[in-house]
Amino acid sequence: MKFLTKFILVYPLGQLPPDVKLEDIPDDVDVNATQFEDYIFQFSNTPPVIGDKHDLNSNGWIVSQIHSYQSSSTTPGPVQTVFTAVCSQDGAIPQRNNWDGNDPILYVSSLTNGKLALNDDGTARFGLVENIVNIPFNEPFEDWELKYCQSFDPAERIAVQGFSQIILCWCREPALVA
Amino acid sequence: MSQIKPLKQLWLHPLGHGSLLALVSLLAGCESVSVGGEAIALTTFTAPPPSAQPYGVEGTLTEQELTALVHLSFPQSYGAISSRLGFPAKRDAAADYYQIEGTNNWVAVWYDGAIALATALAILEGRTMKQRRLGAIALTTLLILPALPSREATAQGAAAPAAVQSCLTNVYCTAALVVISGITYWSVTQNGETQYFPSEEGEYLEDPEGATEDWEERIWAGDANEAARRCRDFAFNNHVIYRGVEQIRGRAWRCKVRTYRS
Repeated sequence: MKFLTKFILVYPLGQLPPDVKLEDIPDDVDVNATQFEDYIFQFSNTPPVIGDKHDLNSNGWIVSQIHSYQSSSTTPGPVQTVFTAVCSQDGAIPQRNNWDGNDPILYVSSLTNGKLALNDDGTARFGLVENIVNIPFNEPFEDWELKYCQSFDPAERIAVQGFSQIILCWCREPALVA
Repeated sequence: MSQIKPLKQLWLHPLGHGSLLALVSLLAGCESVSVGGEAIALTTFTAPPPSAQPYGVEGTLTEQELTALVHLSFPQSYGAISSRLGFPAKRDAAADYYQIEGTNNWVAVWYDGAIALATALAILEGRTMKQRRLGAIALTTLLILPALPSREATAQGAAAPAAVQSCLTNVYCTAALVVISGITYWSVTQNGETQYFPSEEGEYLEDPEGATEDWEERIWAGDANEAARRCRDFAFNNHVIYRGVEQIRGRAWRCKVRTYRS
């Protein structure tokens, strides 16, 4: 569990992800101009590699771009590096627009056993904030209790849709009462 | 409106409760500390610093005003504070200083930025006390709060005004308001021990910016960038403050905003 990778699955323009039905899309959304993305977080002991193929969300994906965020020395913890791995179906680097605002802070929570906070549909619960105080430390996920957080800083210049900081919060489930 | 600017270098590994309190004590006893290679300045005072200029008015707080101050929810706007408490006796770039009527005690209301967001308050007495500036205060709380049982903190809420007021009149006690995740806590430190009391329930200034409320709106977005943009647009159109977005299903996002109670 030395690494955490956020796989960013970038669908070709106008292609719907498997979970999206045309009738579910709000009227004010131009489907043909929308580039959908899925996000999958995975712990691993090996870093992602450009060109590697992954079967994720019913599609084949090829890692086309990797950016790394190094653990701050003041926040030691089990994870050394967080990667963002931008994936496309053809291996080409997808065109993505940068954030409209400032580079946000990405936060994600996990139990110390490596179980990530998951939404009902199995996607990882994560959030974006512009100020660290807006991270819900007091309520990290459901009834989880926050133990501590690791902070990760960009190892290189912040990429398109990169993050100014990544916060990985380690949690524990409340003890059962006999 | 200004925002709290925490010092990210201060994130720490899990420490026991006692260790965290030890950290606070350590910080309170230094001119500065170096964490992650960055020196974090502390403010030292036995009275308003020499740089504080007389404001030209008496600038005192009555017992009633002090009570009101204790019960306030922070952050507050400069206008709200000054209209409720009047102008200070002294002022510098960081804070307004009020003298407590009939005493030699001073209260500092800290501001962050030109828009003057009220952020922290400290009682001063005839001995050297050191009070960390806002960012460090907020972050110290950030470090400590996870280690505190939240239910305990809630249970202590009712005792907060008495404990804080008692502290404010005790030379050996330090009280400070700390803001984290939009919730304001009183931190009361005495004999090296720090207790935290939520100050969420209290009276609010009759000012549109007097108190905050957090709201959530569910939005649909094809990707994170669109989610953030839609949420920011929502905040702008509704005259509230954008806080962030959280993915709750594939295309469903929670848009978090903050507004003010009037």
